[in-house]
Amino acid sequence: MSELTGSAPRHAADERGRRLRIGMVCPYAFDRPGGVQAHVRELARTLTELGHYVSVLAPVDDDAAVPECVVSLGRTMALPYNGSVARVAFGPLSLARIRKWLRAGAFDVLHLHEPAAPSASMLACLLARGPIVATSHVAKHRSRTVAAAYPALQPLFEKITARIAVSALARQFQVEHFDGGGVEIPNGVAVATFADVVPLLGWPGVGGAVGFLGRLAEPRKGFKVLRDAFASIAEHRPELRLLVAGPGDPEVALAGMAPGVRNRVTMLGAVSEADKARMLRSVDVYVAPNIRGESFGMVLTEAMAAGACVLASDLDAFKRVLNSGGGAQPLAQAGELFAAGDSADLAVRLAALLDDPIRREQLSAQARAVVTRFDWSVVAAQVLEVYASAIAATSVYVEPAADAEVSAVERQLPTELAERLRE
Amino acid sequence: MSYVLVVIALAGAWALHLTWLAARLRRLHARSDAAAQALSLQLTRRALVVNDVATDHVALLADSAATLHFAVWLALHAAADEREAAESDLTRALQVAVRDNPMPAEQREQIFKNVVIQNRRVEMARVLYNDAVRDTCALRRRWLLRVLRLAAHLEHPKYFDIDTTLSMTALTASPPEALVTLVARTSQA
Repeated sequence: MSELTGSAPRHAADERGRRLRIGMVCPYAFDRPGGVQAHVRELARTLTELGHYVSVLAPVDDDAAVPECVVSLGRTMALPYNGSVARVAFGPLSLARIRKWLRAGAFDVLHLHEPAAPSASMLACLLARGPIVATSHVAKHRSRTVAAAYPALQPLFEKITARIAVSALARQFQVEHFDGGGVEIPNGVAVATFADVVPLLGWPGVGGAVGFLGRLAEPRKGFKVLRDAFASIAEHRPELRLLVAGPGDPEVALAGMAPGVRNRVTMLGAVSEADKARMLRSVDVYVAPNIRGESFGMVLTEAMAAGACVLASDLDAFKRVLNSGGGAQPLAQAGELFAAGDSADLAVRLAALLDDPIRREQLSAQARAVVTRFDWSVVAAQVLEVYASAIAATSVYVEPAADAEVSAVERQLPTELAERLRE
Repeated sequence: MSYVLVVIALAGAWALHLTWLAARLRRLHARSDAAAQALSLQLTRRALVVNDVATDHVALLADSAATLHFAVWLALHAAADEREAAESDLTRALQVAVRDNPMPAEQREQIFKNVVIQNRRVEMARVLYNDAVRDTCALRRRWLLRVLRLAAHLEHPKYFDIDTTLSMTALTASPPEALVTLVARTSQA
């Protein structure tokens, strides 16, 4: 834990390539599991590795469990937000602590996560001036709460210099609610931690193994689709096995399966990050049967990093991740698709993949190539570009109207040319 | 007596509200203006990098090099109201230069590497600027500000829309009439 007090020298970071002082605010309790927390932790770690100074301000329930760069905002309280209960810190005491943190940090750029949630991010936006970057993680189409609260919050949001969305859906949410476009930067994945793991003992075995990851009871995750497809092809493949990781009641999830098929399903229950990586390495085909609502497809990038052969439902988010060659050289498709929710289609394609080890090897190799685009080092570089643009777009400029007649071009051109001549 | 106090309190709250609105308005215009300067600077950077590429590879790019030099000259000397067109023309001149000079992908990436980077930064600066303009205009539309003409002395910011599509792979991406505007402007000049 670092102290709130003590000030560090600010340096002008108006050029790219400088070391930046970055203040990051995470709205949710840092020591609890969650997508936003994981994102903030990895981004902060990567930026620190790149030589920047990062201080993360976040509510913390248990001080022992957080990394050194985290400044605690104290304990959280439960507030309903976005369809579930979020644990956030919100109140006058938080306000005072945030002010102190901002003053002591002397940041070049302030990065707020999920500023629309009533949380530390929103309070920091209220207090701060200067370059503010905000990342939206929300992935749903429209929120009545946010739409209703927007007019009251506009004075806050208009202080944001640059907006980032982690997925096309999150970007759409921003466009619908805040009119702002923003930049789309995908969620990262720590490729190295998934790439160098050993499979679980005895897996994948000779008879073929299929994998699933996700909450069993959540219909959107589509476990039922995979279960039915597995049951239909397992009849003709006596040694085929199914490896399932994720919280949920096995009795309920497997109800109605024939006993001969059922005993070939291995339930790992909820797994740690390390075991998740090993599990993804332990199967011949990883199936992502999600029916809807996957904003980015984090689980796919993790499977790709682990070198799994991916068979995913044809959701837009999944298609984008698997076909994300783009850029200079479009890479081949890094996994196969089936019609979302259609277990018959899944059964056909799964059987074909299980019978074709060469195709599986190709897909796995392509997945490893494609996933490097989602590595945190690449993603953090894109975020740094946004920081630099936000810093460049925020100069203290007092009276804009005074010399309006001189165009911005004419004012800037000689300076820029002079800079070049001096180089 | 109490009526007087209530009226004074209301007038005070009204004045505070107006002050707050005016401060927001000033802050938003400052934001738009700073973003405009950053965008202008970034456009200039891009033009200078394109100029360097055209100079360094004059033999390889042949006719395209001359076109690029000219497009850069036009972009750097464009008046404020012509800048959108001139910068879009520079993008199109780049598209045409990529299309008309077939070369191995690695070599092309090497030559245009810095141009691609600067172009991406232009795109980002443009997004930040247009977001600032959108927020500023949203506040300027408030009826109270319009009635009291609080924004009258502040210049109304304008959106900046240019073409920044620059693909190193899609050789067919260039529109057929890519240079029409450039040529039309040349004949005027």
